[in-house]
Amino acid sequence: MIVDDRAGNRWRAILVAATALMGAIALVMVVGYAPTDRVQGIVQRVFYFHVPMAWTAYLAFLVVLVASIGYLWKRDLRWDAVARASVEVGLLFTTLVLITGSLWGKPIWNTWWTWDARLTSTLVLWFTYVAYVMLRAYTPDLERGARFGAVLGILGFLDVPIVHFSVQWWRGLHPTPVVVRSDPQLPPEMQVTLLVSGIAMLLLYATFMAYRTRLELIRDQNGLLQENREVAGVAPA
Amino acid sequence: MALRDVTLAMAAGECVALVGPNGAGKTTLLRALTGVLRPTRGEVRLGGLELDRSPALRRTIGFMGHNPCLYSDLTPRENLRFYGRVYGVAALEHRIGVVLAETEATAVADRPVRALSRGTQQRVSLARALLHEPWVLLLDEPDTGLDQSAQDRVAALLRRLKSEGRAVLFTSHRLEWAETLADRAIVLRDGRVGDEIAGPRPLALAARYASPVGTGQAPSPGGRAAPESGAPASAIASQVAPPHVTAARLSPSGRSSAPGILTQLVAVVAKDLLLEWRTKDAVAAMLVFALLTLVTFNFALDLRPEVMAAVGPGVLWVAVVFGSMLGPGRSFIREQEGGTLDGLLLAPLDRSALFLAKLAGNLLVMAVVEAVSLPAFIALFDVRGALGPMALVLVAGTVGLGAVETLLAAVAAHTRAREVMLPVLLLPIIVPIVIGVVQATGLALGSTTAHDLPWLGLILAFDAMYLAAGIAVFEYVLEE
Repeated sequence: MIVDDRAGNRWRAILVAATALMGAIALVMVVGYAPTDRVQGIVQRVFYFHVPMAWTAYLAFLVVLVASIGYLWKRDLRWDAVARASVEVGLLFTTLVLITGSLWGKPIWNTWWTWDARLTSTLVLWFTYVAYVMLRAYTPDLERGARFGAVLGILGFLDVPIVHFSVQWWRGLHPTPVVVRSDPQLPPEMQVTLLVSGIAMLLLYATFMAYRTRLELIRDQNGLLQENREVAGVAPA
Repeated sequence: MALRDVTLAMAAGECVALVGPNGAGKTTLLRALTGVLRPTRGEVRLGGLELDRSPALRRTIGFMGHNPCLYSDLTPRENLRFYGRVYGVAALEHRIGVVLAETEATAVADRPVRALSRGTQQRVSLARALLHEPWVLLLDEPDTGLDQSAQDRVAALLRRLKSEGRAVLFTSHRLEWAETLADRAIVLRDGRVGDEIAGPRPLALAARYASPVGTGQAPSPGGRAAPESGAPASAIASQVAPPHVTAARLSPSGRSSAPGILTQLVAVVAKDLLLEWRTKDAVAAMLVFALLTLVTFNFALDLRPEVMAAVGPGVLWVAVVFGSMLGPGRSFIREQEGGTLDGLLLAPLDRSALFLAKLAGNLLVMAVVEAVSLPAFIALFDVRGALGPMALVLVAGTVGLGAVETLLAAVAAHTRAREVMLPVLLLPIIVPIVIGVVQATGLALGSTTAHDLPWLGLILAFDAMYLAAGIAVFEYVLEE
């Protein structure tokens, strides 16, 4: 188990510093560098947080998928710790995506919420990973919880494309992608700002993951120590 | 209880007593030897073959645990018939008669198990463990709940099985009884092997039982963790002595044959339906819940025709989804509460086949609910349209829904809040198929404004994806 490693502490400190620096640069660029959208006005600036957070949330759930497969394959609780951490961080980002989307939607679409394909997919994803957190909380046995979590982590991510397409067929209102295409519609200043915000968000995800995974590993180690004490007939600490 | 560094080898025709105080790990060890409990490290080998990699070897093991693994709403004969089919026992009715007679349970063979005393259930459980004539018998406190004469008869039976060349490993807290039977005794304490004692030496066993682990007493002839001169019939260890017994030797007696997967599947479905027929604890609740949903929406909504057309398909599927959620959950909770899930896991039944069997049973129950709900929906919501295509959508949608429900119900049944977890787990996952079936039903009824998109394709893709997922991951869900 990786719990007390000085090299790890140093890397985590560097990660925090890099995240803070990149976050500050992104903030300055969002406020002072990127031009104000002529149609949407100042509310468009939420886009520099909303879109990178959505990317990061999807990345987090992709990590859950990979870690879940890794756990079922190797039966190493470190994979499970990564999955647990990524679910929680992904859930945080998804929550913020939904909130910032609503803040943008009210002035632009004149509604806080609509059953658009991407909104619905994101909400379904949010519910799926809330269910993951509940499942882990209601399954006290660590090993069994890890297995169940891995199964749900795989099913939940497999569901993402099919949810997306089903809702897209059902309804489609969300703005079409304006960045990932051969003829990007964004002005260069906006593109650079979005890119910097994206990097800052990825660093923030990495920082959260580094600390959260470590915490989960410590927790697992404590649980195993407790179990060993019980086996050895030592009174619980 | 965790086990540490336990190495155990047994020869064919050997009877070994596993003793130790409560919480020493005896039951855990026996469950690990059956393959139901997967050890974190180490392996179980039968005749040199690794149990984990050869599930069919489970046919060679007969296990009797604290839990009798009997369906309480079935009779002993029906229980044995079910297990016999799953194990592929030939001349089944004759064999059932034999084991019932051997365990002196013939007189109660046709009474529901729940009406039997603890001791009688114990004897029927022993009959279940012996039914497929296993070469390795793992018995957890087989004397519990039995009066003196029944204990004597069980002891005589075990001696006979031993003389037939079967390996018997049993636990007991009655040391004198254990010593009259066992060739060797193993003392287990705090998850570790404390001592091994060969031969009937009652006083020595009692003394070792009470002493702490590693008292420094010399190991008995044969030595701790050393295989006996015969073949190791079972072991849980990181290193296992080379086998002397072939897999063929370990196969059940000639009267049994490897059961076909279809036979096993039909046996599980038939058993589930028989249980449901007896108890009606899922189908009744599902029906009432589905009908109440339809009625509630009918009260709550403005029933003008244009509203009707728009909301009708959605209401129907909300009723189906809500109603159907109760069935699979109940099925797994029943298996878990009754301890019969262990019986299924002990059987040489492929986990994928078990998933398909459970799914088939659930689908049949869901079909009954839909057969009643659909006419009620048509009547209450004054639906007109192509009922043929609608039935097709209903069947296709139910398969996907059933697959996800069966898989997640098995997960939810093992959680602390099992009554509430299934909807929490299920509803986000089934969003695509709900959208698909509602839209397809709307098209079938001519009431939807959606584009004519291939909804049936979406439904079938969902069905295929979750059937495949269920088959692939069900073993991870059921693993102990």
